[in-house]
Amino acid sequence: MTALGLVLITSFSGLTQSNEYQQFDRTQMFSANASFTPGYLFRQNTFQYYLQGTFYYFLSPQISIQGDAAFSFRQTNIQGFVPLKYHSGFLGACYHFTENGNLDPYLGFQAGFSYLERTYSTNIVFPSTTTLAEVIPTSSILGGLNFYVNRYFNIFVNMRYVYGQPSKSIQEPDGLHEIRFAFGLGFNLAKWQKN
Amino acid sequence: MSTKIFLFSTLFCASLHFSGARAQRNADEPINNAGMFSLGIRNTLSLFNSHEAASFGAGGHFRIQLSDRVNTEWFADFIKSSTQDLGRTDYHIGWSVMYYVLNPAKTKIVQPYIEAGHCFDYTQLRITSNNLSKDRWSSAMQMGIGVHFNISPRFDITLKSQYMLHLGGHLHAHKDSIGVFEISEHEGFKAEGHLLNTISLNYKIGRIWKR
Repeated sequence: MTALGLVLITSFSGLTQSNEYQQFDRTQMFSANASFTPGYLFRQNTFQYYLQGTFYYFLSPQISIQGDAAFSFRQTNIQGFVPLKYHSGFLGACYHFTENGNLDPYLGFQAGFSYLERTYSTNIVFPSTTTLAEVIPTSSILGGLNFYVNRYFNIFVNMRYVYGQPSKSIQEPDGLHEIRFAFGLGFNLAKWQKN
Repeated sequence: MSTKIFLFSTLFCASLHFSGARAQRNADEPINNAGMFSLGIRNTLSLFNSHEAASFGAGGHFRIQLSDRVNTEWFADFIKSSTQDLGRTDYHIGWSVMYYVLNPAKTKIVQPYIEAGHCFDYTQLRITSNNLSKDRWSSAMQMGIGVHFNISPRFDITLKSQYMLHLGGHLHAHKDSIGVFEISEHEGFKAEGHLLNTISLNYKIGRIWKR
């Protein structure tokens, strides 16, 4: 926590030192972050937790390519067809509403694949479990806000809807609907634009 | 719900188009380039399947443009669906030829096109209650319409609908006389199709050759 505070203080001091520069150039900027991401599965009425890594690269000031990888922490509750593992990867693009400035709201769309593992009870009289594992297609619609502290750091918050379609369902005839929320500190490499 | 996400995606794309996104593009820069190589990712919603469940899939493709009017798309994806009784997975790998119906020099932002092509299809059908499954290879041909929304000279969002007609043997699940599901494989030609609605994001990497 102290380290995070030092990083933020350093970052804000960097912002004040950049008076000779109006803002940085987002084109070709590369950024990456990692976060602890909780998700809520609607049908299963349960929370899922992920370690998520994200990168994005600006093709132009308002268009970026974004990729995400989320590693799910194993669930211990096997009731109600809750996923034990739900690792996912996404690739897509985002539209950024501002061309420059420190605040960067955006919307995006991504396609991807997930590894889904679910366990369910198969017999009530003689309790036993069966595990179903499969790779499923997924899709994600995301929106968020970046605050670029300086050319090296940003603070981000985002929310995404994730849809996954399994084919090995016993109790769930439909797909997996989930909302994921992430926030944290990101790292970026950008050019400054001189006044 | 998969229909909802597809509609939402469509609205999102439309909002991008009608917002200031188009302003980023340099009007003097040509979009259509013979020899242009593009990479893309896609999500697909399949409707009117033989087992009466909408399917959802993901995949990728690359494009090689042959001329200002003609483009080709080489794709691979897999599509899944499930009902209370059955689970189905379709793997597609194939190609399509796209023809831009309007003059590319005058339609740089919105590019409608028609397309037709062929693919190979591998299908797995599974009964959920007893985990029995069958699979088969077949061939298919597809044709449809689509439109590119060129957000920038190198980046586009594409929406398309195409009807895919499977040729050859097919798998069919039905209940027997005591109400238990079984899967049968029917040989010989039978036309079996579905409507594929695809949204894709594409980026032009560069030219393989110059005109």
